[in-house]
Amino acid sequence: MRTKSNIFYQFRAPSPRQLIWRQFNDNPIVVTAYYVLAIIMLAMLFAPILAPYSPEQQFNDAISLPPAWHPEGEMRFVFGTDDLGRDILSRVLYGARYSLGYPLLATIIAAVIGITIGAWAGMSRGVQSSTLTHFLDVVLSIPSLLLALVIVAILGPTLHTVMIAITLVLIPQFIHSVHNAFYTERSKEYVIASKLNGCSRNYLLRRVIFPNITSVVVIQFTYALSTAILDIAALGFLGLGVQAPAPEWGTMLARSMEHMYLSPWSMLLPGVALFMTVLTINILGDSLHRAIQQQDR
Amino acid sequence: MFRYSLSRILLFSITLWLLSIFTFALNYWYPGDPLTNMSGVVGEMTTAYQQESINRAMDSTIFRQYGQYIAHLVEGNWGISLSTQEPVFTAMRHHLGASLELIILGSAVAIVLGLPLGTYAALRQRQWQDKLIMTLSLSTYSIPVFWFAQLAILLFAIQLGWSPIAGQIHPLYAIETQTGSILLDIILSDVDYRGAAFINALQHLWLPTLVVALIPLTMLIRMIRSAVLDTLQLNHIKAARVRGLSDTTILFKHVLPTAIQPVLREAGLQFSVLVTNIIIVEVVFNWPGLGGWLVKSIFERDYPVLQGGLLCLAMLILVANFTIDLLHAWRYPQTRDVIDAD
Repeated sequence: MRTKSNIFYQFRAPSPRQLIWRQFNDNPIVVTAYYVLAIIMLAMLFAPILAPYSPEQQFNDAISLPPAWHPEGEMRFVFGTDDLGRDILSRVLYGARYSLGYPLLATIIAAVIGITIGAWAGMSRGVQSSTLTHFLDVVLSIPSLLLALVIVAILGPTLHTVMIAITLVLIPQFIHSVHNAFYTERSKEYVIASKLNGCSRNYLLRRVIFPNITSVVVIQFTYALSTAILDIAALGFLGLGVQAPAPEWGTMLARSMEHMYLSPWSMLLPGVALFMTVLTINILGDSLHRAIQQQDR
Repeated sequence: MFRYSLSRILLFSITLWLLSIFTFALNYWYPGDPLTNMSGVVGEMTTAYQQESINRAMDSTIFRQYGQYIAHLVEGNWGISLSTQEPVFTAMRHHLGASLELIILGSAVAIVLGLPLGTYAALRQRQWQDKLIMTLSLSTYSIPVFWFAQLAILLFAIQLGWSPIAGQIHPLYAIETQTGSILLDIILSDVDYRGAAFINALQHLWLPTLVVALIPLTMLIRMIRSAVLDTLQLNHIKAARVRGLSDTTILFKHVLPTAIQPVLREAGLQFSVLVTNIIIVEVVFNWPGLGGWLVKSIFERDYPVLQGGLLCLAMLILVANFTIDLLHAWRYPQTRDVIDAD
């Protein structure tokens, strides 16, 4: 890499992060996905500024209005209104908090807890470790939506119980992947070398092994995030997640289902938003996975 | 193989045992009376309740209660529904039939389409056909299944009118429910309008089947593509080329049998994704299967039904995984040693 202040040519091997970044930049689809996700994130953060109306404001003169490009549509409601006369665009913008913000939060919490437990389990040997693996295999074979449904059935469908359910469901996935990664790294030579150097267990965990399993953690994170988004939306769709009038995308889709004959456009924007969010996250995760794999070779 | 089967059977029974403990504990965690949640008998003062209380050893220790719970489960006495007063076990058999019909047809469609498409993409690696298939599969993989189901209904049922919106069969055809699977029921029944009923059922069936098949299909394409690509690098393929075998012989006799091996294993793990989709699709299409039954029971706080649905779905997944594990070890002996080494 050349820098402007340095007139002498000096070869520097790019760091792993720069290598991944270059790999990213090579593929136009990935760059597009990156920017689309960034725009969705920004729209989520600045929803109060961007949204033309409040998500709960009802316009009695504009009930079930089609989008603006339709002959009967109006320019002030670009994507139309729903059956209660609420602006769909504003609802989708505010809904990004429920459908992207809360899953993000749940995934971060689950990641912190899951990585801690997974690292601890990965470092321990013997019975403790093998019982954990078998137990996790069982928990993971049961679909996350089914577990979340059961937790919601115990605690009742509200926003915070859904959050608890999704977090609890994601934790085993993190434990599993981090545990397996630690397990394979542990017997490698560089770890044994630092052990012989007399590193403490804590140092070994955080400074020696952890930097080498970042790829696993990152991939697991994107995977868990898309699972969390889809699960929260699915719970909302089934009527067991975030409750009305909160503008959650899955709940909006469930409502549009009832008016499919009369106003089919009301399922357009929430569905597209959900699809684009999950698609960009999957593309990013997928290419990250490929970039890291290529580096290993 | 014997040792391997034994260890798998042991693991499977431990898993079932853990599952039973979990569902047993759930009855105490749900709001309300544990005995009512377990058996569906209501009213503290009634004779039926007291009889049930004695049957299930409710005033004894928790271990005896668990023992009685297991005994009741094994006998097929899964309680009665709080909302319909029907025995849960008989209702479950019908719902299981309806769900299995969707699962089997959906995975059959996924396999029939996914195998050739994945192989084709691998053989055309980095050409436009491969890129098209991979882009399509990545984007369909990200479609929320309930939105896709809605779009499919909007297009095929409302705009084009090729299929009814929901349900299993038109209610005019009075088909007696025996197995729950509608096609089997029509074949088993002895009415004269069997042919017409069969066509009507197929019209109802094809759309949910396609929606269910979509996500397993995209996953299968990706798995098969990468497995075939890995296999093409192996030495025995090179050896076959050197011997001068034709491309089709190499593909069908040497590449595919090897490539199927990792796919089979991963496909077992993907079975739970299929079940997740089944739950949602059944709600959208109002299909009388396990998923719709389970979701309805949560709305109605019908805990015996919820327990029955949960047990049945979880057992379905565990049995499927167990079968695939055994099948895998039987066909590919080298995997047995890996497990033994643990």
